[in-house]
Amino acid sequence: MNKAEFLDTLRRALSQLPPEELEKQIAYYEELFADMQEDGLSEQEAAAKLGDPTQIAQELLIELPLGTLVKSCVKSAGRLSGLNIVLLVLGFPVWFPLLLSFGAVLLAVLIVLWSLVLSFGVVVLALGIVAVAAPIGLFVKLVSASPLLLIGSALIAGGLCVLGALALKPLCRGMAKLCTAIFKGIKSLFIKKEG
Amino acid sequence: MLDAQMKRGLVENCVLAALAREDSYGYQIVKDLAPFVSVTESTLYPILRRLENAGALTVYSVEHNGRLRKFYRLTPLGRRQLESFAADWDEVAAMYEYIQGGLRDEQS
Repeated sequence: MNKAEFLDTLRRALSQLPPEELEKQIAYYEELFADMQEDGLSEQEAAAKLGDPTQIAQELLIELPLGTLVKSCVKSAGRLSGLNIVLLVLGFPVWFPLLLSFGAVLLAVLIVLWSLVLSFGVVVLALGIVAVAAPIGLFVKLVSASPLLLIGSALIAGGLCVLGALALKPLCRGMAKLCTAIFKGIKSLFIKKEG
Repeated sequence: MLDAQMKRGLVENCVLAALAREDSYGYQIVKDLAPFVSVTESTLYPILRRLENAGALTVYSVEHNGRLRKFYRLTPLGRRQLESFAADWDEVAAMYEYIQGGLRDEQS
């Protein structure tokens, strides 16, 4: 394999990369060829030393951040043919409500999930208020409850409040992770369809 | 065989260390590292790219034999990263000492 063949194979295997990324990569290998030839290697020897361009391309694509990959996938799928545009316009009454309802369902799921977290937070807050208010009740005598009951409930509420507060943070984090997982799932759905 | 994640970090810092000595270009970096690290021209490129994106190094071109050669220069951020890696490594060295001590005790 000579230099031209090597670079050509590499260029083809990386064609889905954004153009400026691809040019950078090609320039890097061009420079290596020149450096190796200055070192006394032939084109063939240099190509052999660099390895299989197809494999190099694969390894590079895996290394690429997801964002760049998605962008390049969407871009390559973004060229709509005339027929596609006509279908999109004619199909509007079909796909638009579907998309809308899908979005609405997704939003509802997210709202339900987060309101679960919110209500949990409110419960924790209420327990905290009880824990503070019950001892005050000892002195103010607003409610006719025995001091023992008040102290006991304050302790229980305080304990539960602390436990709940501790659980709140991982709960939020888990929920956020779940949400990103859902969005990632949706994203990969589109990539597969278009790629 | 070294754990992949660990090796990645090590190679990355070796590249930074090579650039801490002097600005350098792809082929030269591979040659400089060859006695210590098994890094090829093809595995070096993603590392350089990652470091550049992270702001640990900058790229500039220098004319050489009628063509442009890309040189890489360590940024202050890259130097800090290398320094913090070296500092972390003191801890690893202490652990290594401990592990070696354990092996010696077992043998005797």
